[in-house]
Amino acid sequence: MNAKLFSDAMGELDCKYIEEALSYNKLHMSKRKSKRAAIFIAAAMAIFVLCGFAAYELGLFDPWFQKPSADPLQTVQSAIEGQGDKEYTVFVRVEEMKVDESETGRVVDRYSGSEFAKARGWTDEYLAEHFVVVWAKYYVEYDHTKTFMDDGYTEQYFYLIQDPETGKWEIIDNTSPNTSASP
Amino acid sequence: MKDEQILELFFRRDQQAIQEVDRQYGALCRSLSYRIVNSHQDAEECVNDAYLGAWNAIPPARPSPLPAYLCQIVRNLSLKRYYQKGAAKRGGTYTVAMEEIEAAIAAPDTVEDTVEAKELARILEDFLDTLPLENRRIFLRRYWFADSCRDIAGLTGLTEKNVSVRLTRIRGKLKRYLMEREVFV
Repeated sequence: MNAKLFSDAMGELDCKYIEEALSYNKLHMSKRKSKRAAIFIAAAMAIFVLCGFAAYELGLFDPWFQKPSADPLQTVQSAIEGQGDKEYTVFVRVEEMKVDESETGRVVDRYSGSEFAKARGWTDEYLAEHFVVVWAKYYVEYDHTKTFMDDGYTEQYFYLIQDPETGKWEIIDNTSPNTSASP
Repeated sequence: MKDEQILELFFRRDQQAIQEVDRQYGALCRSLSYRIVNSHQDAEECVNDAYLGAWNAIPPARPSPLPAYLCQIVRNLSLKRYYQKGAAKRGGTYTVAMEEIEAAIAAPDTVEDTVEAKELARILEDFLDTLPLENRRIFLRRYWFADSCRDIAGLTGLTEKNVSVRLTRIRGKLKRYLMEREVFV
Protein backbone atom coordinates (compact mmCIF):
# COMPACT_ATOMS: atom_id res chain seq x y z
CA MET A 1 0.00 0.00 0.00
CA ASN A 2 1.28 3.45 -0.72
CA ALA A 3 0.50 6.94 0.44
CA LYS A 4 -1.55 7.62 -2.71
CA LEU A 5 -3.91 4.77 -1.90
CA PHE A 6 -4.16 5.93 1.69
CA SER A 7 -4.85 9.46 0.49
CA ASP A 8 -7.56 8.22 -1.89
CA ALA A 9 -9.10 6.19 0.91
CA MET A 10 -9.10 9.21 3.18
CA GLY A 11 -10.97 11.03 0.44
CA GLU A 12 -13.64 8.32 0.57
CA LEU A 13 -14.29 8.71 4.29
CA ASP A 14 -17.79 9.45 5.41
CA CYS A 15 -18.55 13.14 5.60
CA LYS A 16 -19.26 12.91 9.32
CA TYR A 17 -15.55 12.52 10.09
CA ILE A 18 -14.75 15.66 8.11
CA GLU A 19 -17.50 17.55 9.83
CA GLU A 20 -16.27 16.33 13.18
CA ALA A 21 -12.76 17.58 12.47
CA LEU A 22 -14.09 20.84 11.06
CA SER A 23 -15.92 21.54 14.28
CA TYR A 24 -12.51 22.36 15.71
CA ASN A 25 -12.41 25.37 13.42
CA LYS A 26 -15.68 26.70 14.80
CA LEU A 27 -14.54 26.11 18.37
CA HIS A 28 -11.17 27.57 17.61
CA MET A 29 -12.64 30.57 15.82
CA SER A 30 -14.96 31.40 18.67
CA LYS A 31 -12.13 30.92 21.15
CA ARG A 32 -9.86 32.98 18.94
CA LYS A 33 -12.44 35.75 18.65
CA SER A 34 -12.84 35.79 22.42
CA LYS A 35 -9.10 35.73 22.83
CA ARG A 36 -8.66 38.54 20.30
CA ALA A 37 -11.31 40.61 22.03
CA ALA A 38 -9.61 40.03 25.37
CA ILE A 39 -6.23 40.93 23.90
CA PHE A 40 -7.68 44.04 22.27
CA ILE A 41 -9.30 45.18 25.52
CA ALA A 42 -6.13 44.44 27.49
CA ALA A 43 -4.02 46.32 24.92
CA ALA A 44 -6.42 49.27 24.92
CA MET A 45 -6.36 49.37 28.70
CA ALA A 46 -2.57 49.13 28.75
CA ILE A 47 -2.28 51.98 26.24
CA PHE A 48 -4.77 54.03 28.23
CA VAL A 49 -2.86 53.46 31.46
CA LEU A 50 0.49 54.14 29.81
CA CYS A 51 -0.78 57.32 28.16
CA GLY A 52 -2.31 58.39 31.43
CA PHE A 53 0.93 57.66 33.24
CA ALA A 54 2.97 59.50 30.62
CA ALA A 55 0.59 62.46 30.66
CA TYR A 56 0.73 62.53 34.43
CA GLU A 57 4.49 62.34 34.39
CA LEU A 58 4.66 65.10 31.82
CA GLY A 59 2.14 67.14 33.75
CA LEU A 60 -0.12 67.37 30.69
CA PHE A 61 -3.37 67.27 32.56
CA ASP A 62 -2.04 68.15 35.90
CA PRO A 63 -4.32 70.98 37.09
CA TRP A 64 -2.91 74.12 38.52
CA PHE A 65 -3.32 74.57 42.26
CA GLN A 66 -4.58 78.09 41.77
CA LYS A 67 -6.38 80.53 43.99
CA PRO A 68 -8.58 82.72 41.77
CA SER A 69 -8.02 86.31 42.69
CA ALA A 70 -9.20 89.75 41.65
CA ASP A 71 -5.64 90.30 40.44
CA PRO A 72 -4.65 88.03 37.55
CA LEU A 73 -1.01 88.22 38.59
CA GLN A 74 -1.86 86.89 42.04
CA THR A 75 -3.81 84.04 40.48
CA VAL A 76 -0.82 83.07 38.36
CA GLN A 77 1.54 83.43 41.31
CA SER A 78 -0.64 81.13 43.40
CA ALA A 79 -0.67 78.61 40.57
CA ILE A 80 3.10 78.62 40.11
CA GLU A 81 3.76 78.47 43.83
CA GLY A 82 1.14 75.77 44.07
CA GLN A 83 3.48 73.63 42.00
CA GLY A 84 5.56 73.38 45.14
CA ASP A 85 2.80 71.33 46.75
CA LYS A 86 3.10 68.64 44.10
CA GLU A 87 5.10 65.61 45.07
CA TYR A 88 7.47 65.85 42.12
CA THR A 89 8.42 69.50 42.74
CA VAL A 90 11.52 70.09 44.82
CA PHE A 91 11.62 73.86 44.64
CA VAL A 92 9.83 76.70 42.83
CA ARG A 93 10.30 80.45 42.91
CA VAL A 94 8.49 83.12 40.87
CA GLU A 95 10.99 85.46 39.29
CA GLU A 96 8.92 87.85 37.23
CA MET A 97 5.34 88.33 36.02
CA LYS A 98 3.40 90.79 33.90
CA VAL A 99 0.18 91.09 31.98
CA ASP A 100 1.28 90.84 28.35
CA GLU A 101 -0.94 93.28 26.47
CA SER A 102 0.33 92.40 23.02
CA GLU A 103 -0.14 88.68 23.62
CA THR A 104 -3.57 89.38 25.13
CA GLY A 105 -4.59 91.29 21.99
CA ARG A 106 -3.26 88.58 19.74
CA VAL A 107 -5.08 85.79 21.56
CA VAL A 108 -8.31 87.79 21.81
CA ASP A 109 -8.16 88.31 18.03
CA ARG A 110 -7.67 84.61 17.60
CA TYR A 111 -10.55 83.69 19.87
CA SER A 112 -12.99 86.34 18.62
CA GLY A 113 -15.80 84.80 16.62
CA SER A 114 -14.24 81.35 16.88
CA GLU A 115 -16.19 78.15 17.46
CA PHE A 116 -14.01 77.65 20.51
CA ALA A 117 -15.20 80.94 22.03
CA LYS A 118 -18.84 80.39 21.00
CA ALA A 119 -18.84 76.98 22.63
CA ARG A 120 -17.86 78.68 25.88
CA GLY A 121 -20.25 81.60 25.54
CA TRP A 122 -17.45 84.13 25.14
CA THR A 123 -18.63 87.09 23.10
CA ASP A 124 -16.12 89.50 21.55
CA GLU A 125 -17.10 92.11 24.16
CA TYR A 126 -16.64 89.63 26.97
CA LEU A 127 -13.21 88.65 25.70
CA ALA A 128 -12.21 92.29 25.30
CA GLU A 129 -12.95 92.99 28.97
CA HIS A 130 -12.49 89.72 30.79
CA PHE A 131 -9.55 88.00 29.18
CA VAL A 132 -5.85 88.54 29.80
CA VAL A 133 -2.60 86.77 29.12
CA VAL A 134 -0.02 86.77 31.88
CA TRP A 135 3.60 86.10 31.13
CA ALA A 136 5.57 84.59 33.98
CA LYS A 137 9.14 83.59 34.56
CA TYR A 138 9.96 81.25 37.39
CA TYR A 139 12.64 78.92 38.59
CA VAL A 140 11.71 75.34 39.32
CA GLU A 141 13.45 72.11 40.25
CA TYR A 142 11.78 68.73 39.88
CA ASP A 143 12.48 65.31 41.35
CA HIS A 144 13.44 63.45 38.20
CA THR A 145 12.75 60.11 39.78
CA LYS A 146 9.09 61.16 39.67
CA THR A 147 8.67 63.30 36.56
CA PHE A 148 10.16 63.87 33.14
CA MET A 149 9.43 67.60 33.21
CA ASP A 150 12.36 69.90 32.52
CA ASP A 151 13.38 72.23 35.29
CA GLY A 152 15.41 75.41 35.55
CA TYR A 153 14.38 78.91 34.55
CA THR A 154 11.03 78.65 32.86
CA GLU A 155 8.86 81.07 30.90
CA GLN A 156 5.19 80.48 30.35
CA TYR A 157 2.06 82.29 29.23
CA PHE A 158 -1.14 81.88 31.23
CA TYR A 159 -4.57 82.60 29.77
CA LEU A 160 -7.06 83.87 32.30
CA ILE A 161 -10.77 84.57 32.24
CA GLN A 162 -12.50 86.82 34.74
CA ASP A 163 -15.73 85.77 36.33
CA PRO A 164 -17.99 88.84 35.88
CA GLU A 165 -19.91 88.07 39.06
CA THR A 166 -17.04 87.54 41.48
CA GLY A 167 -14.48 89.56 39.57
CA LYS A 168 -11.90 86.82 40.12
CA TRP A 169 -9.46 85.69 37.47
CA GLU A 170 -8.97 82.03 36.74
CA ILE A 171 -6.40 80.27 34.56
CA ILE A 172 -8.14 78.46 31.73
CA ASP A 173 -5.14 77.53 29.63
CA ASN A 174 -1.41 77.94 29.33
CA THR A 175 1.38 77.49 26.87
CA SER A 176 3.98 74.78 27.27
CA PRO A 177 6.78 75.76 29.66
CA ASN A 178 9.78 77.19 27.89
CA THR A 179 12.90 76.15 29.78
CA SER A 180 15.34 77.62 27.30
CA ALA A 181 14.97 80.95 29.07
CA SER A 182 18.15 82.39 30.54
CA PRO A 183 18.41 83.13 34.28
CA MET B 1 -25.25 34.29 6.26
CA LYS B 2 -26.30 30.78 7.20
CA ASP B 3 -25.53 27.78 5.01
CA GLU B 4 -29.22 27.30 4.22
CA GLN B 5 -29.42 30.85 2.90
CA ILE B 6 -26.29 30.33 0.81
CA LEU B 7 -27.79 27.16 -0.64
CA GLU B 8 -30.95 29.08 -1.49
CA LEU B 9 -28.81 31.52 -3.47
CA PHE B 10 -27.31 28.56 -5.35
CA PHE B 11 -30.77 27.22 -6.07
CA ARG B 12 -31.88 30.63 -7.35
CA ARG B 13 -28.73 30.68 -9.54
CA ASP B 14 -27.73 33.91 -7.83
CA GLN B 15 -23.99 34.50 -8.25
CA GLN B 16 -23.91 36.11 -4.86
CA ALA B 17 -23.79 32.52 -3.63
CA ILE B 18 -20.14 32.30 -4.66
CA GLN B 19 -19.34 35.58 -2.91
CA GLU B 20 -21.01 34.37 0.25
CA VAL B 21 -19.24 31.03 0.09
CA ASP B 22 -15.95 32.82 -0.35
CA ARG B 23 -16.74 35.18 2.50
CA GLN B 24 -17.65 32.32 4.83
CA TYR B 25 -15.30 29.57 3.78
CA GLY B 26 -12.72 31.14 1.46
CA ALA B 27 -9.96 31.22 4.07
CA LEU B 28 -10.66 27.63 5.12
CA CYS B 29 -10.59 26.40 1.52
CA ARG B 30 -7.45 28.34 0.59
CA SER B 31 -5.50 27.17 3.60
CA LEU B 32 -6.52 23.57 3.00
CA SER B 33 -5.51 23.75 -0.64
CA TYR B 34 -2.26 25.55 0.14
CA ARG B 35 -1.19 22.89 2.61
CA ILE B 36 -1.57 20.33 -0.16
CA VAL B 37 -0.28 22.12 -3.25
CA ASN B 38 2.25 24.31 -1.43
CA SER B 39 1.65 27.23 -3.80
CA HIS B 40 -0.60 30.22 -3.28
CA GLN B 41 -1.33 30.52 -6.99
CA ASP B 42 -2.21 26.85 -7.34
CA ALA B 43 -4.32 27.03 -4.18
CA GLU B 44 -6.22 30.03 -5.53
CA GLU B 45 -6.91 28.21 -8.78
CA CYS B 46 -8.02 25.06 -6.98
CA VAL B 47 -10.40 27.04 -4.79
CA ASN B 48 -11.85 28.88 -7.78
CA ASP B 49 -12.30 25.55 -9.57
CA ALA B 50 -13.99 24.19 -6.44
CA TYR B 51 -16.42 27.11 -6.44
CA LEU B 52 -17.21 26.40 -10.07
CA GLY B 53 -17.67 22.74 -9.21
CA ALA B 54 -20.06 23.64 -6.42
CA TRP B 55 -21.93 26.03 -8.73
CA ASN B 56 -22.41 23.24 -11.27
CA ALA B 57 -23.38 20.63 -8.68
CA ILE B 58 -25.83 22.71 -6.64
CA PRO B 59 -28.62 22.16 -7.59
CA PRO B 60 -29.54 19.35 -7.75
CA ALA B 61 -27.16 18.57 -4.86
CA ARG B 62 -28.08 20.13 -1.52
CA PRO B 63 -24.98 19.37 0.55
CA SER B 64 -25.22 19.40 4.26
CA PRO B 65 -22.95 20.35 5.86
CA LEU B 66 -21.78 22.80 3.20
CA PRO B 67 -18.22 23.42 4.52
CA ALA B 68 -17.35 19.69 4.60
CA TYR B 69 -18.67 19.38 1.04
CA LEU B 70 -16.59 22.34 -0.12
CA CYS B 71 -13.51 20.99 1.63
CA GLN B 72 -13.94 17.66 -0.11
CA ILE B 73 -14.04 19.33 -3.52
CA VAL B 74 -11.07 21.54 -2.67
CA ARG B 75 -9.11 18.56 -1.36
CA ASN B 76 -9.83 16.43 -4.43
CA LEU B 77 -8.84 19.20 -6.84
CA SER B 78 -5.76 20.07 -4.81
CA LEU B 79 -4.64 16.43 -4.67
CA LYS B 80 -5.15 16.14 -8.41
CA ARG B 81 -2.81 19.07 -8.89
CA TYR B 82 -0.46 17.71 -6.23
CA TYR B 83 0.00 14.41 -8.06
CA GLN B 84 0.37 16.20 -11.40
CA LYS B 85 3.48 17.85 -10.02
CA GLY B 86 6.69 15.90 -10.01
CA ALA B 87 7.59 14.47 -6.60
CA ALA B 88 10.52 16.87 -6.35
CA LYS B 89 8.23 19.88 -6.74
CA ARG B 90 5.63 18.91 -4.19
CA GLY B 91 6.81 19.79 -0.70
CA GLY B 92 4.48 21.32 1.84
CA THR B 93 2.68 19.96 4.87
CA TYR B 94 0.80 17.30 2.95
CA THR B 95 4.01 15.68 1.72
CA VAL B 96 5.36 15.54 5.26
CA ALA B 97 2.11 14.04 6.52
CA MET B 98 2.14 11.37 3.81
CA GLU B 99 5.75 10.50 4.56
CA GLU B 100 4.75 10.00 8.17
CA ILE B 101 1.83 7.76 7.36
CA GLU B 102 3.72 5.77 4.77
CA ALA B 103 5.87 4.26 7.50
CA ALA B 104 2.74 3.08 9.28
CA ILE B 105 0.99 1.60 6.28
CA ALA B 106 3.81 0.13 4.22
CA ALA B 107 4.66 -3.47 4.92
CA PRO B 108 8.18 -4.52 3.90
CA ASP B 109 7.02 -7.60 2.07
CA THR B 110 4.08 -6.00 0.32
CA VAL B 111 4.24 -6.71 -3.36
CA GLU B 112 1.13 -4.99 -4.50
CA ASP B 113 -1.84 -3.13 -3.16
CA THR B 114 -4.35 -5.59 -1.93
CA VAL B 115 -7.27 -3.31 -1.23
CA GLU B 116 -9.22 -0.75 -3.16
CA ALA B 117 -9.46 2.80 -1.90
CA LYS B 118 -13.15 2.41 -1.05
CA GLU B 119 -12.52 -0.81 0.82
CA LEU B 120 -9.65 0.75 2.70
CA ALA B 121 -11.86 3.74 3.51
CA ARG B 122 -14.35 1.44 5.25
CA ILE B 123 -11.48 -0.16 7.21
CA LEU B 124 -10.17 3.27 8.15
CA GLU B 125 -13.64 4.32 9.28
CA ASP B 126 -13.81 1.27 11.53
CA PHE B 127 -10.40 2.15 12.86
CA LEU B 128 -11.41 5.78 13.46
CA ASP B 129 -14.43 4.58 15.40
CA THR B 130 -12.09 2.86 17.84
CA LEU B 131 -10.37 6.16 18.65
CA PRO B 132 -11.47 8.66 21.26
CA LEU B 133 -13.08 11.74 19.70
CA GLU B 134 -10.10 14.00 20.21
CA ASN B 135 -7.62 11.56 18.71
CA ARG B 136 -9.95 11.01 15.77
CA ARG B 137 -10.09 14.72 15.15
CA ILE B 138 -6.32 15.03 15.46
CA PHE B 139 -5.84 12.19 12.96
CA LEU B 140 -8.23 13.80 10.49
CA ARG B 141 -6.65 17.23 10.92
CA ARG B 142 -3.25 15.78 10.13
CA TYR B 143 -3.99 13.31 7.35
CA TRP B 144 -7.10 14.77 5.75
CA PHE B 145 -6.62 18.50 6.26
CA ALA B 146 -2.79 18.28 6.27
CA ASP B 147 -2.55 20.59 9.26
CA SER B 148 0.86 20.99 10.82
CA CYS B 149 1.38 19.81 14.39
CA ARG B 150 1.58 23.44 15.41
CA ASP B 151 -1.78 24.19 13.82
CA ILE B 152 -3.33 21.19 15.53
CA ALA B 153 -1.82 22.25 18.82
CA GLY B 154 -3.44 25.65 18.31
CA LEU B 155 -6.80 24.04 17.59
CA THR B 156 -6.76 21.55 20.43
CA GLY B 157 -4.99 23.51 23.12
CA LEU B 158 -2.40 20.73 23.40
CA THR B 159 1.30 21.33 23.07
CA GLU B 160 2.98 20.67 19.74
CA LYS B 161 4.98 17.87 21.36
CA ASN B 162 1.84 16.30 22.76
CA VAL B 163 0.19 16.36 19.34
CA SER B 164 3.26 14.78 17.79
CA VAL B 165 3.31 12.02 20.41
CA ARG B 166 -0.39 11.34 19.99
CA LEU B 167 -0.01 11.10 16.22
CA THR B 168 2.86 8.65 16.62
CA ARG B 169 0.71 6.46 18.88
CA ILE B 170 -2.28 6.66 16.53
CA ARG B 171 -0.09 5.65 13.59
CA GLY B 172 1.25 2.73 15.61
CA LYS B 173 -2.26 1.68 16.48
CA LEU B 174 -3.30 2.00 12.83
CA LYS B 175 -0.40 -0.18 11.76
CA ARG B 176 -1.39 -2.90 14.24
CA TYR B 177 -5.04 -2.56 13.22
CA LEU B 178 -4.22 -3.03 9.55
CA MET B 179 -1.83 -5.91 10.21
CA GLU B 180 -4.43 -7.73 12.29
CA ARG B 181 -6.78 -7.51 9.34
CA GLU B 182 -4.03 -8.57 6.96
CA VAL B 183 -4.55 -5.52 4.86
CA PHE B 184 -0.94 -5.67 3.72
CA VAL B 185 -0.86 -9.25 2.55
